[in-house]
Amino acid sequence: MSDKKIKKEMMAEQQEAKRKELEKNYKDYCLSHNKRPMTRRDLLSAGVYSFAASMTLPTLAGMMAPRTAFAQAANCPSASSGSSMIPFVTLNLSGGAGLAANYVPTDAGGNLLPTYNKLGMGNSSLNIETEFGNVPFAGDDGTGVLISKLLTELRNNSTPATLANTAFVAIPVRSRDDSSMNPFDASGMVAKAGLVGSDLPNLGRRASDTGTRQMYAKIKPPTPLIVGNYDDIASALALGATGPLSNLNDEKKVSLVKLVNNLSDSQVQKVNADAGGRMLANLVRCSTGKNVELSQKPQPTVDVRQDASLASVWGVDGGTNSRDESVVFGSMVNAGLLGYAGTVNLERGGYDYHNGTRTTGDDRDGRAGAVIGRILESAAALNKKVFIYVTSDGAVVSPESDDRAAPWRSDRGSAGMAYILAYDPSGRPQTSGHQIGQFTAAQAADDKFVTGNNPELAASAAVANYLKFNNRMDLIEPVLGSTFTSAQLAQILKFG
Amino acid sequence: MNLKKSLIKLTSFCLAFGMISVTYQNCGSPDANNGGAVSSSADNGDIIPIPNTKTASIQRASRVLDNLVSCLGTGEPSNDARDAWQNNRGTISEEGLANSMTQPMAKALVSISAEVCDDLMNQERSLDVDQRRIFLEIDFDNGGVARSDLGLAAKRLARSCWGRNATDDELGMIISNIDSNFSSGEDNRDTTRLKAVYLCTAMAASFSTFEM
Repeated sequence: MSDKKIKKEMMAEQQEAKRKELEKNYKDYCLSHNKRPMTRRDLLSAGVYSFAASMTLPTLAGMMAPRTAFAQAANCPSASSGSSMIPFVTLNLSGGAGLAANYVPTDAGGNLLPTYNKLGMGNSSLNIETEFGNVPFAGDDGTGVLISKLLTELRNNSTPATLANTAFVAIPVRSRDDSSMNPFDASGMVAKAGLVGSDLPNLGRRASDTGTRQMYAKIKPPTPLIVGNYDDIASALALGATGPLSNLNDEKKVSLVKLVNNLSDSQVQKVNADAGGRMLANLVRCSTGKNVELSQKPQPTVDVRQDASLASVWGVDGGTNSRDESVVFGSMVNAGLLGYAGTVNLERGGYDYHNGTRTTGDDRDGRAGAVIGRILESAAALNKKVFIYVTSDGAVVSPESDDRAAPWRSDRGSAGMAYILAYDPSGRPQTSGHQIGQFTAAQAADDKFVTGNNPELAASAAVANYLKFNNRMDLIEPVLGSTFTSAQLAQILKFG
Repeated sequence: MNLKKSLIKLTSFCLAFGMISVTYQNCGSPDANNGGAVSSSADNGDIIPIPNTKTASIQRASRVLDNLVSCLGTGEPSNDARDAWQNNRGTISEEGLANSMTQPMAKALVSISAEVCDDLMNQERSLDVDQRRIFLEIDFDNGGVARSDLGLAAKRLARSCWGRNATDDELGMIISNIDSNFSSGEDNRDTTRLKAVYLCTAMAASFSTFEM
């Protein structure tokens, strides 16, 4: 049935219900008052005015809200509908990572800042190491060792061929230090763009709206499946992999799902007749029917320990504990890359690392780089595109010093930053620049730039670039609305 | 002067129109505050109610386990049931909105129902027949379950979880499905128990249990 027809039928059903209500009120009035309603008071009492008003005047909310629900509901979402959108993986570094002390931020003209002595990189004569084309990272510290441990470990965990097919863009953005109140999470927008996953709409690591210690930007994401260990994903993906249903053979499992589907299908007839129930009825039919379809297929496996090439990427084997971070991260990423899951939200803690040393921070940055490298390498192994979004809450500051290994002394959210990376197995995605916005001479994200002082807009900018990477600029308006003017879009879009 | 008058007229009209819209929309609607049917959805997925009509909705995630435990009368859920709910709650709508029903959610409902039904079967098999609520006629220690005994259990499950009697069509679907999936050659204690869980899961995971 077409969307328009369903919508029309719904309206007809509502009008018919109203008509019946009016008729009943009218009859009741006549019976109880032994006369026809004649005056305004009589008509109000009989409910005729209410009927007339509600039939002729729309609600204010109705006038303002786009009427799209039935159109959306009428289409059964396909199990593969999410696969047309590129997998989206967020890595949140909780605590305030020094991302601007790995990638080297530049000014509006793309020039190095006069000094980097608050960013733990000393003066502006620091050595630059380029990667992902011509993207500047903190280079040789004078002893042949890279200052950027994030880049070091990213390289150690991915191949030159993979990096050659990866684009990188930094987003300078101020954010609150050590806070869960920064709206950096882009999962809701990405889900709205159509990345839904065939089985699990959203994966996360923490019991929150977003699955990480970040607030969502603009749109609430689908409730994430909180993944504490690999078994959480396995049991959510496979029906009856464990528990009482594991005693049923595959044929009986399919049969059980069919029975649930048939019972539900007959039961939704009841709400189908109610005004407003058609959408639910349709979705119930879609979802239980799709379960039958999926239960007839082989159970998906996303365990990185079971895939030799991915096990090697993540440094695990069959004996690695299912709670091991690499097993969990690798399997979550695998679920996203294979299309079983929609958005994937990874999180690492321990990034509030200003303990008067550089050692802790360097170690944590290196681990973040390793995760990014492994995500890229997983995509390469599976010959899939991937979009990675790296966030944190706030940042760090060093004492003003020319020491290129100055210790981290305190929080400094004004020097915050996010990264986006895009991998395409067929070649590096073209970019028109490697930075959205800029840093000022004061070594802080420029709050005058549209995204410079607003994590939500930075997240929106990341999504805009994700849509561009998907070649789906038609989704900018439905997903982002009027967040950016065309002039601002031109400034923030770096892909393509 | 004319322009001023026109502006006053226009402003008055707009104010009057707005007041009429607001005043009359819910006037005389006894259930106006009790929610309404889904009429449309804003871009953020909000459901906009219509007065005088029931809101089509389903159990929210936080209520799913409680609802199952309550309708099956199992009391405190087992750790396995809690784990199943915890592992699957991410796929179940937090708000129970009509437009949030998805395939992963349907699958989650089957998984959680199966665990609570397993709790029910384990509880009832250790009880005397006169203390049971659902599987009164089933001998869990032997094979072979009569169709009529399954039918009686199905009727009790329907009244308990669906809040109504099962229709003949529904009973027919359930019994014929079980008949065709469990051959008489499988008649043993384990199959009897499995049949009970199978029957219970199918009914507990179907729409009527989660309809609001």
